[in-house]
Amino acid sequence: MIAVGCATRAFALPCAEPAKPSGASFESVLPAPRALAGPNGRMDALYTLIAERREAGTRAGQSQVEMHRKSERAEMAAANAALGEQIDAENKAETWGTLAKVASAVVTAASAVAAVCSCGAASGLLVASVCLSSAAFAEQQFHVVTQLSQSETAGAATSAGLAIASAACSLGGTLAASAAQAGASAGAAGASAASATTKSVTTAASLTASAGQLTGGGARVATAAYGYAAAESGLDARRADQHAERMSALATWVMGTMKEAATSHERALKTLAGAMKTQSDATAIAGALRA
Amino acid sequence: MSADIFEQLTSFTIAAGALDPSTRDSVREGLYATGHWLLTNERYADAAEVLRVMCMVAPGDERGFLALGAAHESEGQLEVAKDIYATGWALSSPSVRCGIALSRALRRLGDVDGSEEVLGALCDSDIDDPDLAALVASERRAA
Repeated sequence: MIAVGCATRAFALPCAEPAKPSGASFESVLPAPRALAGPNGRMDALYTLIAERREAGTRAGQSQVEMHRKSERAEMAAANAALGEQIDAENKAETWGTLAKVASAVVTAASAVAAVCSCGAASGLLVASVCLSSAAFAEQQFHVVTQLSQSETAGAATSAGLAIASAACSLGGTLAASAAQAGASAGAAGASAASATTKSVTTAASLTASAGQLTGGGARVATAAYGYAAAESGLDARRADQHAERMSALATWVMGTMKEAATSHERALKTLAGAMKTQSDATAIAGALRA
Repeated sequence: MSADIFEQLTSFTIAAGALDPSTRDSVREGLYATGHWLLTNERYADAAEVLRVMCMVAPGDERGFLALGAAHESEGQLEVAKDIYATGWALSSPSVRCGIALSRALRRLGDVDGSEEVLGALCDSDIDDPDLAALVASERRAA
């Protein structure tokens, strides 16, 4: 009988000897394990495979972390692009908003004048003059023509031309109104002096009224300019908010990346510790088997 | 059995399912070596855990059933051991060793007829290994 040595009990390879009636059923039939290659003897295959499986798990984890990082970078790039597009769109809206405010002020002034005046052909000229004057005022305030034509000369000439045209229209309108009123009061032979006086008074009153209307239009334009400044301040505040949001997202991304890196290192350390323990156990068991 | 060893064995069994046949042989031999080492150190419960894994990984290997039956028999569970030997004899056919162990267990349990029946079946079978053939003949004579 070929016995396989062990510390406390011997199991035998199969042989031709009959089993003893009092012995265990497995005696003489239980084969000894085959010798396996490797520095740690028969335990080597087991622990090598366990270590390989753990290494494969670690590699899979690393791949997942890398894939997650790439996805996060792509999301950040998309978010930045969307933010840039939003800022551009707001800048364009700002430019067109300025022009719209100027036009709105002009129309408002013209409407106010049109509501006050209702004296036939004279009112048309007055409205036109007020519009021209308002446009000239707006040009002086916002330099719309200068901005559009990119020429200081053009802007100045436009302002001067508009002012002159406004004065001419106002004077023409006043004269027309005076003429109508003079026609209504015609017939008095000795009233030419009085008529002349009336003309002068009416002209003065009309000029005064035009000046007051123009002042009102200017005030409206000034109000519109104040509204534009307020809107610009609000836009600055929104820009500041967007910048803060962008910085916050960037900080979150950096913190997430750092946390992932720390977790990955922790997993690698655990795997390494497990592998070292496995190697230690294998060596101890191999030593015990050799003994 | 510690939780660590059990976790390693479980992961090892999962890994063994995806291995090529040559590596699977190494797995089987490693499991049997581990179970046999635990058995010879009289750690029967631990040995049974390992040998159950071996029986699942390599059901065609009679050594797993033999060693698992030996672990239960050493714990005094002869009925369980008999059933395990019978399973090994059926699954690992032709398993001469499992047949001999089953015949002995039946005889120890008082089932002489059953033991004789198993021995008769073994004698009628074609046994290539001369050592095993001689062992079966001696068992028949002793009975």
